[in-house]
Amino acid sequence: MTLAIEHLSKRFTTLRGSVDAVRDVSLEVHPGEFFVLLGPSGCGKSTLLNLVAGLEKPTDGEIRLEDQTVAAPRKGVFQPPRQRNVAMVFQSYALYPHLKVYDNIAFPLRVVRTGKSDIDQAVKRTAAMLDIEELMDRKPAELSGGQRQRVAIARALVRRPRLFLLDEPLSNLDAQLRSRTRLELKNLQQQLGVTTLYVTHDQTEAMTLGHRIALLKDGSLVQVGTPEDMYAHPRTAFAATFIGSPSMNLISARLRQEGQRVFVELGDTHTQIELKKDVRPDLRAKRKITVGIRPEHIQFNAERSPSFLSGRIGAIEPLGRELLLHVQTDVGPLLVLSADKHFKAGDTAAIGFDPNRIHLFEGRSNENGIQPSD
Amino acid sequence: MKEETFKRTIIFAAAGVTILFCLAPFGYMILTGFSRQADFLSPETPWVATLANYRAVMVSESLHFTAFMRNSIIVSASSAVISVFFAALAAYAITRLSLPGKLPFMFLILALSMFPPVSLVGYLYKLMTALGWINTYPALILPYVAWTLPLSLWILVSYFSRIPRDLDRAGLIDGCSRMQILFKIIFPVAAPGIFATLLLAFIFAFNEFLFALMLTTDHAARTIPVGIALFEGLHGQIPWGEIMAAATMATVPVVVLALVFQRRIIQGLTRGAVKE
Repeated sequence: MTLAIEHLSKRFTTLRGSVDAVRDVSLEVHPGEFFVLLGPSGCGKSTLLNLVAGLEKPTDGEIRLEDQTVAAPRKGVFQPPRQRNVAMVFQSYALYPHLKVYDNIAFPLRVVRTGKSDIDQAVKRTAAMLDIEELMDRKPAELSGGQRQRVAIARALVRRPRLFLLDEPLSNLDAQLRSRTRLELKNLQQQLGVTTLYVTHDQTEAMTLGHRIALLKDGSLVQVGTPEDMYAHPRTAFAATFIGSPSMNLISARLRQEGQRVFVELGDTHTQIELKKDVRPDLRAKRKITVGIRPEHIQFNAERSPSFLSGRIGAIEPLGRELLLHVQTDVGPLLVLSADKHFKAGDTAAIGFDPNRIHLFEGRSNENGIQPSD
Repeated sequence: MKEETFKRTIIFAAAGVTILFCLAPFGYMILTGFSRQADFLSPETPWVATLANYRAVMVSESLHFTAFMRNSIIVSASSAVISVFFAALAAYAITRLSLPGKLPFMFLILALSMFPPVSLVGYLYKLMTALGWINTYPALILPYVAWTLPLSLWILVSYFSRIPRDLDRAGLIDGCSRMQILFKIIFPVAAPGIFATLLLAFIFAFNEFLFALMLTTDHAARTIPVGIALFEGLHGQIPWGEIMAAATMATVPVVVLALVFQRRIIQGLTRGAVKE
């Protein structure tokens, strides 16, 4: 099942004005793919999901399932959800409180008047898959959060949807249950091979679940790629800070060229890093740039390196395997991950950067309004 | 005395006084219904329990008690069902669809419900006369529906607005049309609210006096409150014992309804539907 989204826009108009929730988004989700829509709250990811489901009508653009156009305002096409055969799991689960678990799962089949024995078979098969067979006679009120979640997933999968949509399905579970369910969800999707569109604001979920991720901000697509690609080659400073935890450090910097050699000067200091890789041509002309470096790529004891920053260690957060150090430097606070655990608050440190590991972004970090997020 | 005990005593005493105050007229009504003469507190004659009044009410052809009762139940039940049905449709539209001017509409409805019945009854009489409906059920059902509709609508809007929108959305995804969502999801989930509203609308109609007095002429359509008020003894005296016996019996349907629906009304509205 291919899902194609082309130049899709959604504008909400209310009495107080209008909001562009989705701006000119184009995507293609391949058959059997686990595709994650990632972004901070209010970035339009849920609206995008609702547009695909048919719960919202797009303002412009086109949505196609397989070779069938399901929404295209310019062509006057709009299929309501029941014609699309897509299934959805809601953040709130949205189970029918007056129905037992069995009837909740059977509901989508009964609406389309499936035969009784077919319903029974499908419900039992799905319940077995999700390991909820012993809950069949209970009402949703008698279930725990994790059980409700499973029932919601079973209800969505029972009629073998063309497209499986999930709207932050794990955010109401506690941490332990969340990581377990995450793994199960991944296995389930693999096993069924159903094309899946998954909305989350949690980059860990996106990284662990998605074959590919689409990062959204303010209704626009920032970057689409595999988790590895998003981590290694973030296209903007926003993508860099949103993906990866703890998030990437951003430092304002200047570019300086000396013949064939290109240097980055950090902040207002004279610390400079010679770049070994080619600078993107569009950045070469810019003097003001932002340097990004991940906390795991910063080295200590770099006194001998020609380009080191001296800093003082402030707060220390032990993460178990390693320490997360907050280091105060001349270019501002930096986060550093260190496997070496002998640091104490107040220590001075010489920090070095591997030129192969730094990222360059257009503009000054604070001018872009970039907020490091976790 | 310990403070806890003291507090408890006060609470029970206050509750006792309140209950006594509220139930005293009913007690008086029931006692009078069972006593041989209306002035049962009179010291000259001893109080004797009797079922004579009840028997008289049930058997006496001239009182038409059973006819009044039947009229009341039919009129009240019909108007409650019609009113709640339309109110539920309207409440769904108001809480779920994007309609312009919802709030002004709701307040207009509320304002309409504040017209004193007295100001309408004269014209209603003319209207029903012109329609030839005087002394028929529709003559009462129609005004009762109109009169209870604002109340039903307001109660149901508040109930429906507490049902999470995600249930509607889940219904849409699961293949329902809007009407199917209403009948398969919203109505069952809102059942406690709907029963409560039905009961209220029923009681309103059951107790209504003025319209019933003006728009009916005899036992073909006259309802209980008017019927009892117009009870007359053989020689024109006021038959207190029979009035009280009839009044006692007239409270039975309401009490039974309240008891039957009690469980459904107080049970949780959307327990377990969504994660709060």
